[in-house]
Amino acid sequence: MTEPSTKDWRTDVQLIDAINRSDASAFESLYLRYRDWVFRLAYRFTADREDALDVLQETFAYLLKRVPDLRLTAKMTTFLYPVVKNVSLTVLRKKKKAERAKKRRQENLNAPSSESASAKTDLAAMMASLPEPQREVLLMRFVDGLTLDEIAQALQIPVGTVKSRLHHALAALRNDERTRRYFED
Amino acid sequence: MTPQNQHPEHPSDSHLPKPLAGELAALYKPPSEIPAEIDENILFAARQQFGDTRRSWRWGGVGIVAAAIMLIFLIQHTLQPQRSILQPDTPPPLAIREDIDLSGRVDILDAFALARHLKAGAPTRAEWDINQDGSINQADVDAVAMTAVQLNGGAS
Repeated sequence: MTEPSTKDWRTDVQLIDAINRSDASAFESLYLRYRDWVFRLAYRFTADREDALDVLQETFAYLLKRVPDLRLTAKMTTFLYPVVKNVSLTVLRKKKKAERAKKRRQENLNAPSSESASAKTDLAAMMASLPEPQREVLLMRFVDGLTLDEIAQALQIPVGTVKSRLHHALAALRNDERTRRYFED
Repeated sequence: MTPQNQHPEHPSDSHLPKPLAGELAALYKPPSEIPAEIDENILFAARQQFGDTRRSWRWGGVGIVAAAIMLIFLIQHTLQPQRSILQPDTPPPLAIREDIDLSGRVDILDAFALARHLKAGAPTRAEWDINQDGSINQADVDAVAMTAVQLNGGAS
């Protein structure tokens, strides 16, 4: 997941400072820079497009509510990750759709429409079988592109725990018959 | 010694085969892009909030007095719930009418909720005609957002 570039030359820290001074253009730049990242992450947690859009709006509404006290002490994605995660869980709880989303995901897995869909299904099934903490770290590392330190910071766990979870997740992928082929040269 | 040095990363854990990384990214990709209306709603909320913030800084004490008047107005209306029942033709109090998501308060999420409702083409309620122009549309979304910002501004 790459971060989209915007024409605004300001860094994230500079944008946050400007937002705290009520600069609407800075908020717009920050929003355009991270909206897709937030949306994709929210979709990962909710497995539902409409819920993910709700999370997107509530995440940026949360940022607005914190103005003028926004402080960026880490990378923006590290800062946003727990916000998106918590908002996603709240949305799911509020709408009592967690089970429905899980079921929908499972239904999608059970209905492959082509060979590539089948391969995708194998991967999805394998990912679904991973313990949630391992899956989360794996996706943060290789889909979101966060470093080990950033993951540790976002999840508020020791770096050693991140490494351990990542190691176990990758070992499971290497050893599972559905995903072993990715590691064979 | 840093925590990282205490737990050195296994060399094979530092990267993922490219095809697998690509398929993982595709697997968790949302089915569509973000609709333009969502962008507009969020950015509109920001513009309204910042515009209101600047005004409150400029007017200082006037803002505090306005907030006090608004608070008294809200208390008077929320403490008299029987009036709405006895007089069904009387429109609900402003703050209640604009509480679209029935969360018990009016905030920018109410504007988002109304916008989503309209976009989905779902049935609307008569009291959502916030500006009382006879139709429920984007102007009412804007009106809810404006009220939310005003209430936030008054509270801060």
